[in-house]
Amino acid sequence: MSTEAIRNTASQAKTKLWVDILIFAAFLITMEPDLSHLPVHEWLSLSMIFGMVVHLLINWDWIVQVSQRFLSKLGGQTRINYILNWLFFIDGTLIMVSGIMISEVAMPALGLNLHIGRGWGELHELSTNVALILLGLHTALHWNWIVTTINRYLIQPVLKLFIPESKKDSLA
Amino acid sequence: MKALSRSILILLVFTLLAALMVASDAAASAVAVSVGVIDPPRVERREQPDTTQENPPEVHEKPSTLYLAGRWVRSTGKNVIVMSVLVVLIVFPKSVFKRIRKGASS
Repeated sequence: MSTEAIRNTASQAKTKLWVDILIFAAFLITMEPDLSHLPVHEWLSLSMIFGMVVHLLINWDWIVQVSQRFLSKLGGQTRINYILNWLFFIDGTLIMVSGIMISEVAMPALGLNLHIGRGWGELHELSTNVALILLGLHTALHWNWIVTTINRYLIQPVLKLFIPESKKDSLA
Repeated sequence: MKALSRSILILLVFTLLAALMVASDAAASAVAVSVGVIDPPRVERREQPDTTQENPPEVHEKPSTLYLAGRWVRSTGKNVIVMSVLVVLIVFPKSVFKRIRKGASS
């Protein structure tokens, strides 16, 4: 691999890592609407649509490749991963739709007064709990990548700050 | 240009799914009402706060930032624990199985 290709791969991995960390942090905050308060919960949740789009754009090549090969030769874990990702996407959409239907801050601020149908609130809570489980499974299936990338781009650079200059030269 | 068209595609799929969900809910409600399983849905409109009240609402003391932060840490901790349990349940057997396979092949 050429130096430029290596730099591009490293830069992509760093971007992926930071986008995922931000999405995860936003998810944890939005899981507690009582504590983060409703305006923060609603507007941050809506902004997660943008986060989802960025995350999918970053992983576009994988999505296309696996989609094309889904019905042909494909590893078992990759297939499970793909199905899980689709379930996560559908559940995420359900969270957004149900959240929009029961919105008390964001939608009225945008001039939309939606009729609250029966059950959207319960659906919102149920889909959020399912999302927690799906996120756990999604994290488990990508654990190796998460550990490797955090080690390479977060932990190692911080540890290098504490290594004396003389030892850095011997390591190089 | 590529990124823009891909973003539009993602948002299109998202919108189609959302529309399907809303339509399904409406259809299910209509069928349930026509069959008599449930009463017709009440259109709940959010009440505007009544500003002509004689007795103003009680002013509750705002909990401290430290208390709220502590509560947030506890409840977020619960969510993180749920995810961690799932991660351990999947990752640990996988690594054990990998080690066994490596040991068997060597």
